[in-house]
Amino acid sequence: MWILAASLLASLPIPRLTLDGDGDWTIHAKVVYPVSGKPIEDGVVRVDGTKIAAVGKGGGGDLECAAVTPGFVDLAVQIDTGNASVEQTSESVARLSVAGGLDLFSDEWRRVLESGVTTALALPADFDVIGGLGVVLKTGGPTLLAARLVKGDAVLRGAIGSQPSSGNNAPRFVEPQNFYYRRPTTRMAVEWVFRKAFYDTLQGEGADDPEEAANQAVLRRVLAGELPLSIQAKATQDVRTAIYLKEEFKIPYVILDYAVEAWREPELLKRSGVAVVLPPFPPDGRHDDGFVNDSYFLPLDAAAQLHEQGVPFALSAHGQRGAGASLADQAGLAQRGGLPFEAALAAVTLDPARMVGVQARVGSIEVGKDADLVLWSGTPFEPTAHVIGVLLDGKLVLDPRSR
Amino acid sequence: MSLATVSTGALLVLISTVAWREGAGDAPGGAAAPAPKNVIQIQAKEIWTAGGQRVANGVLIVADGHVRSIGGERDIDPAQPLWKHDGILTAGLIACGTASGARGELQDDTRSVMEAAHAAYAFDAHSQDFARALAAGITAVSIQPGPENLVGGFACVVKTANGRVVSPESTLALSLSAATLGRSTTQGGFQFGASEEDGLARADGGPESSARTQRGTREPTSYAGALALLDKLFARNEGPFARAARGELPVTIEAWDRHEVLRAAQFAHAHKLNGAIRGAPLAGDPDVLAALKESKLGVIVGPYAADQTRPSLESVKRLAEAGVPVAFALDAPGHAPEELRLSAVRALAAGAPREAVWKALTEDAARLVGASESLGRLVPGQEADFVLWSGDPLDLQSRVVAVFVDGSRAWPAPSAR
Amino acid sequence: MNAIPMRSLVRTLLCSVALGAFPLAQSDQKLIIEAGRIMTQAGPDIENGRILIEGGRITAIGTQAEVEKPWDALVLGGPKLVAFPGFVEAHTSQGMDRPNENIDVAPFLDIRDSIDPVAYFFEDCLRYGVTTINVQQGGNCVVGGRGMIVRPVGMTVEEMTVRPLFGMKLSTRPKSGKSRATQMQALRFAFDDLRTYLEDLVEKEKDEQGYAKREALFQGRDLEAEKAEGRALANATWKLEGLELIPRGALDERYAPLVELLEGRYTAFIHCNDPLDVDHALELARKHGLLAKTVLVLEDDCWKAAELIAEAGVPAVLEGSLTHVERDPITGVEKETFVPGVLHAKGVRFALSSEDPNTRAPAYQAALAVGGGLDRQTALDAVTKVPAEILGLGNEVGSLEKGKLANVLLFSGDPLSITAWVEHVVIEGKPVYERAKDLRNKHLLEGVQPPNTAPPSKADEEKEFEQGEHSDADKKDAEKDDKGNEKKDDAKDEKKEGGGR
Repeated sequence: MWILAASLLASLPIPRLTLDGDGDWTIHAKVVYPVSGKPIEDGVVRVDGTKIAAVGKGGGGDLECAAVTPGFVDLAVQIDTGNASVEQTSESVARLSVAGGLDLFSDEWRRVLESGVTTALALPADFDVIGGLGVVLKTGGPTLLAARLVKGDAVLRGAIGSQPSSGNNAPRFVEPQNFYYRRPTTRMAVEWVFRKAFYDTLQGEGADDPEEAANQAVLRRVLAGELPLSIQAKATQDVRTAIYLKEEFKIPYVILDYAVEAWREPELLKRSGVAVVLPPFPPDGRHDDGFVNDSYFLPLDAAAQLHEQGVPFALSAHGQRGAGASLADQAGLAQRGGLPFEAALAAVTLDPARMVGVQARVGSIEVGKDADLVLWSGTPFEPTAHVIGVLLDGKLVLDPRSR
Repeated sequence: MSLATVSTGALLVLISTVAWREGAGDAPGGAAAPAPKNVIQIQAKEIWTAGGQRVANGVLIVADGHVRSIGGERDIDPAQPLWKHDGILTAGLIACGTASGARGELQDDTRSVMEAAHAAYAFDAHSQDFARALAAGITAVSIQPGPENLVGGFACVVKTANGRVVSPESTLALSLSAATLGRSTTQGGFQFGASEEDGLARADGGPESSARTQRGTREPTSYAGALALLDKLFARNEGPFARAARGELPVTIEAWDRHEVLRAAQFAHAHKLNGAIRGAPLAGDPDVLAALKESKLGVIVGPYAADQTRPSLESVKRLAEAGVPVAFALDAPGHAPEELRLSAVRALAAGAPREAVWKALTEDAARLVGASESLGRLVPGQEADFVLWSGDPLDLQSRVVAVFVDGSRAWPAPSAR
Repeated sequence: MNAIPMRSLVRTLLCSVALGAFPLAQSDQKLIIEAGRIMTQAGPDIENGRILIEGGRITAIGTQAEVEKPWDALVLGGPKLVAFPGFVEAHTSQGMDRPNENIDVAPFLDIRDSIDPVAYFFEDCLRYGVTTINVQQGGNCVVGGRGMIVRPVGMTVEEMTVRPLFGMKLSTRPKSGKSRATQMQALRFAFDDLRTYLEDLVEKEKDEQGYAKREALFQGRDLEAEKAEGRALANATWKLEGLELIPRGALDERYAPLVELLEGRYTAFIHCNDPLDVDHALELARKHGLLAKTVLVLEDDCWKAAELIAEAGVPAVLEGSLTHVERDPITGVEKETFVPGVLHAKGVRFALSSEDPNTRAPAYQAALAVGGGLDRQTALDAVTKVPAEILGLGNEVGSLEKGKLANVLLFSGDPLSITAWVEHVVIEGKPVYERAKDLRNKHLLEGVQPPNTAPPSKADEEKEFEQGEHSDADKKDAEKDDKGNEKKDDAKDEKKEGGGR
């Protein structure tokens, strides 16, 4: 494929280029990592408008750098409006979309964009059992969702484990006074709410209420395999529960998000065919999510283990943005745990893009795909290297020449 | 009303600048119509009428509390007394977003939708807040339900001179701000929950206070939920929401962060609502501005804080350039009435066009609070609320010389006879 | 009355010994280290190099052709490994049990009493290849006391000691609960109080001189000789008339350490949190003649005072984040500053530190500094040469040279690469760490439970983590104390802008 592109490029006359920031670009790198093919040494990527026009070998360019990778895809970007991103008056609000609660003006978007993340999955916060729909969007561009949207209803978000129940109270001595009393307070009840939602959907229970009918319509799309179900499942028991739910209701596409302890259940993962989004690697291997008291354990080689077992997985920064904690840094840490470079690269680009069904537009450097590119000062993911340039939809949003 | 009775030292200025014109003859043209009562004629060095018009050496003639005409020397009715003012005469200022006379009474957050609530029933007409406002040249205020309810109820427009409610249902107050959602999700201490809502009298005479909870009591808790709930409300066929959706009732939507403003503007556009956004410090952001322009909403900004950033001070300029009407909120009694003019002058200093800033204090403010039919302009037929200034009102050195409301001098208060 | 001079004498002896380093107990075992590459940090790298270590020191270093392998030497290393000098930590407040004394002015404190040899921190130091560590009192102090230089091996503080009674911790950043004015007043008062005390002492000495002389004559002692040995303050940076009359032994031990600070026995480590603190610190150092032996410990936005620091010529230790983020108050735009870049450009000599728990490894710190735009050598110097010089150990550690202490790391690759691990650590000729045998690291890396622990049941694991967390929590506490109040939140909420809500 890439050889074909190379020969194609060689035969093309290289057009005169404008340098006004969003015209056409020719980017020359010591190594181009297309992800979809082998690395191209002394490679060139040509951008025409918002799309990649050619990928090949040799020649100079307007922009020079040590390496080019596709823009990263983060399935847990966690730039949300906190509490306000999820409707907590009911424990299952499948009909509501996080799109209604996004803050595209947040500086966080610029920060993740400049760290190389060009596509992100935005999800409601995990205070509900079924928290609503997530959307895939570009991390930069106009502050209107319509302009940034890659995929509207991309996933349905659910959460099992302790987070959706924490903070809820059981009514004691008094009659319930607010909705938090209704909500689950244990893992068992969280799982019950989950299953009830699907059972009610299968049986059409309560569908005369228009809101409930709207919820069930979404769940039916999940059951039909039109919509992936992304479940926050941290501890071993959460991972198991999620997989049992998948198998019980024959849900075709399930993504286990924040699956700290998924590595403990390799057989189950393989049997069920779930995909996994790993949380960020903590510097000392221990993980405390700061919300509940449980500590879950993520070894540094978790990604390497999943890779060896052939479980599809993606790396994520889960909202971390400090030094050494961005998504690119996760790819570095995963390598420190033994993951090969190519797999680490795919785990922040094409693999997550596939999980949410946007691989036709993003995730690799291929002709016709969105011109989302990351320019590096050195070997990607090494702490000594830096993201020096970022193109988003062909527009230079971080200029390597200004550095 | 007679100036002869004026005796306080502070009013000497007034006496020197406004003088009787003696020697009034008979009214020309006989007596075809009954002679109007309470006619006042004031001649000022400059009269700012409406739409940026200025009449030099103009004469304002007021009858029965309304503006009868604005003209020149030849319009002077010699049968009536004439005041002369060596300064500028303008319409009275209108302060949006106040809690004048109703501090602590405008926010009932036991439930999030209170569409039948009226701010008009909540204020004390004799509050000193009104007298203070009047002295600063503010002739009308819009009293606005608090921002912590998704639907706060009806705002009203009140005259500062007499506490007269100009319009009890001037706008419908909505809030898509974090304050609404925050109130739904965080609450400590004493609770008014479902037990109060169901209306049952309890044996112990009050709601159970042993039920402590860390989190809130009501929906919505999220932006998506808020929009869904509003969609449901605006789908009703009658009531305030239907009136708003038909364009008969303007709304005021509380929204501060840019994403909230964008959301509010898009919502208003989708439901064809008119009215204004209250808040929006960064409304000058291009994407927000485009959405605001499309929605045809105005923006009520301010009052500006000491550390207000440049971009938000400049937002008035950008809004004006885009043709989006602006008005200034005062947040009285928390802020002094003089801050209304201060906010305007700060916007002016940040590059806003003079005309837009002046309109923001008067006619655009009247429009955004739903009172443009009777207030905000000095044109025939409008209520005669006006201010005599010692100089340019957008110069902070200029003083209020006198304030007239409904055609009568309201400040300085006419002394007791 | 007798006890105090006695203790002072012991301390004085300790001080005089402290001028030389305490070596690690040695055997006759020779050690050879072989590596595919030796990054000496004192010249060009050596390919296929060999290091001969005898008596804890490097006795030969060169290519394998140049350095002979004695038949009786232990051999460590391999062709794929990279040898690198042990990292030097110029300043840390970790590894202590309960740092941060409550007393404002406590120069008499000795960190030796609080160092915890089994602190997790020291274990981590080995894992990250830090072989020389300057432990100082936390920054939440006025005059915090004296620190010491240790190596991360040994079950007692004595075994760990490289140099006891090293450095004095001061802070111009207001201690928690103090205003800036009271902090500075307390600092000034510490020195004013000392002056009053010394003046008093001089006066007494003058009054009693005749008597002392007579008594000495009577006892047959030579007072002059006695005084010459223990003459106090001969080289103090202060001028105080009659100071030379006072025998060192006469000083109260609560004051003596401050006098020693003025004599230049201790390097002053002055903690700064704001650019303003830097100004105050330099003023203090100048006023008392400490400038030549002052090191600034910088946090937060102290980089803004980089020019002042460069002008004063004092070195600095960076304790804050390498990238400082703040919001422009006028435009509201967020601005990032790469701190090492600014300091380097302004000509400040600085060391990186491992205070940030997320980026504790010096190699990683240096790598991030390179990623931020610093040249490779400056970044590597900041974790080897510069801190060694700050500690006065420039001739002992910080590079691999003949005659220097044999603190050698063997990396699995380029030390600055994310995939490189510290495989072996040699401290003063002794192999003290081997990654293959590091069970805790294996646990972190592979999730493998260390042997002789319970099978991985959730409850046990949580318990274990609680314990593991304990040291962490302590450290966090220390950090919090150290930084006093929480960091200022620069990010300003848009909502605030509306005012009056």
